[in-house]
Amino acid sequence: MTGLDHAPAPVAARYEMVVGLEVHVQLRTHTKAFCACDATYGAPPNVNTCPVCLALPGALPALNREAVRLAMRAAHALGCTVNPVSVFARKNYFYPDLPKGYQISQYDRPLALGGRLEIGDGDATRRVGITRVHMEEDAGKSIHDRYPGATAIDLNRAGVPLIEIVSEPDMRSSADAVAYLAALKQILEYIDVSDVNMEEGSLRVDANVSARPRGATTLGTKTEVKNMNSFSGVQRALEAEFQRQCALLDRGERVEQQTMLWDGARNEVRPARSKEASHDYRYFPEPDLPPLVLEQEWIDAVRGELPELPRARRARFARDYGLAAADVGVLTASPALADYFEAVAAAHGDAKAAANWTMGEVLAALNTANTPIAAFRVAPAALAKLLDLVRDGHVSHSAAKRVFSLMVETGEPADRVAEHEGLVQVRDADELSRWVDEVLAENPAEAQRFRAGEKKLLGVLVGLVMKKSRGRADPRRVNQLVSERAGG
Amino acid sequence: MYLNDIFTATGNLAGVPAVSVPIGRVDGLPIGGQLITRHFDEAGLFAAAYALERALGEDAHR
Repeated sequence: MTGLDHAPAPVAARYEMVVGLEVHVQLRTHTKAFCACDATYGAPPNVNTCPVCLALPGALPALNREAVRLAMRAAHALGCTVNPVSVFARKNYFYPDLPKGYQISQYDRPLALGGRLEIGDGDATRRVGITRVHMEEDAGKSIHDRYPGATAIDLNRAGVPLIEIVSEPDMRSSADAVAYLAALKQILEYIDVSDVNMEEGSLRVDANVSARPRGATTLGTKTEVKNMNSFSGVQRALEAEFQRQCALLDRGERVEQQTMLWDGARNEVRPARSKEASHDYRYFPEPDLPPLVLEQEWIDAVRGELPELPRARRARFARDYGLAAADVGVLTASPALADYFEAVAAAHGDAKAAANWTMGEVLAALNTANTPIAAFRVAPAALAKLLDLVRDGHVSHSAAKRVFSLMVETGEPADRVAEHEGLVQVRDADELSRWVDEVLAENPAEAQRFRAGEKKLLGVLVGLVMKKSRGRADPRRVNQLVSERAGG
Repeated sequence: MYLNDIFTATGNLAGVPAVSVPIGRVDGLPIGGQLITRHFDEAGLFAAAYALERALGEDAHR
């Protein structure tokens, strides 16, 4: 054996990844942050604009109160302290989709400081610090692939309110980063402040990443990675940048502090042009807006309005409904699904049945139709009625699935669908007895063998009764009756 | 130079007296009018602004 047989340990064994994330989230307001323009997504280009967001001479900004409320709500949900006084600042840079030549943001006195977000479950729970949450406005959108050789500008987005959520460098892997983003997205969905849709750009992620030898306590030089448009893009970009930095360190070279752009198609990161990476923003206080002064009563009132957050809801579902962790995870994935389940469970009474139907038939129907649960045809009360019919033996479990799919199609109530389709189980003793007697009379040989002790024929005889009833007989009662009439 | 600051910056750059006075509302939002005059004629500027204010009346200031 020679030294050459020892391949160097993989980089992940020798180096540790350190990640902090900056997440921009569009707030779901009716109007923009500093003017009365419509802030909703999807209008024809440049329709939602006015002198303020086009930066015409003399136009002055006026702060949107609802944007402040939503920003505070998010800050509270992340455990931040909201500052009674924060200050808007101009962040200066020149770009065609930024009409004013600066972005109104917050700099040294942000809206909120010092929160945390927990990722993972059980013993693997980790805490990621939130450095700050600040308010700012979005820029317009540059569209480079619409007209050959030219860039189109859509200013509908210019001035839409954003919050930027900055984390501490507390993540140690690309998986941590994705877990953080998933937890953050879920919280923002629960508190209903944003569409949090990465594809539509209402949630955007920049990552600060560095590598250091395992065991080191100081941080390596970081780079900023931009241009990811999905969670998996974030994961792959972090891995690519980590590998690049580790290779540099292995060669004894230094990591240069710079901005890297993720190229998803090529699966690689490349340095941004120095112009794009320029950090000389010449921040100064926005002279057109006074400091944002929030009364403590309002700050407290917004905190008091927070709904139950995902982690608390998961704990309560496990405790109160006795559901397994995996089921709790599915049911609490979105607040709408969790609400649906709870409404079914409350109306029907049996939480296990409500959980199984919500996770099974309901989710399958939603996926097939590709509809959000808000637009789902079968209301929780209607599903609960169906589950009542199953529990009380009026509809068999297999017939119930057929009833449910017809309810999804027609929007009709369970009892009417079951009636109309002849799926109501016959429990009338006289009718059931008549069918059983007929089957025994028509199959004397089998009846005789069953009487003689060949118990496995019970299934055959019950099956014949079910067939005669065209599936409508209650199998439990038929079982009973066949045993009584033909049994010893 | 920022387009939306152009009415404030030009007076400063040229060093001439300028004043902004309320002149009414459009769609419920306050609109200001700007008067600029030659170097050192502040007195004339104030007189003109005052005249404008009286001519427009109370409604312009609500």
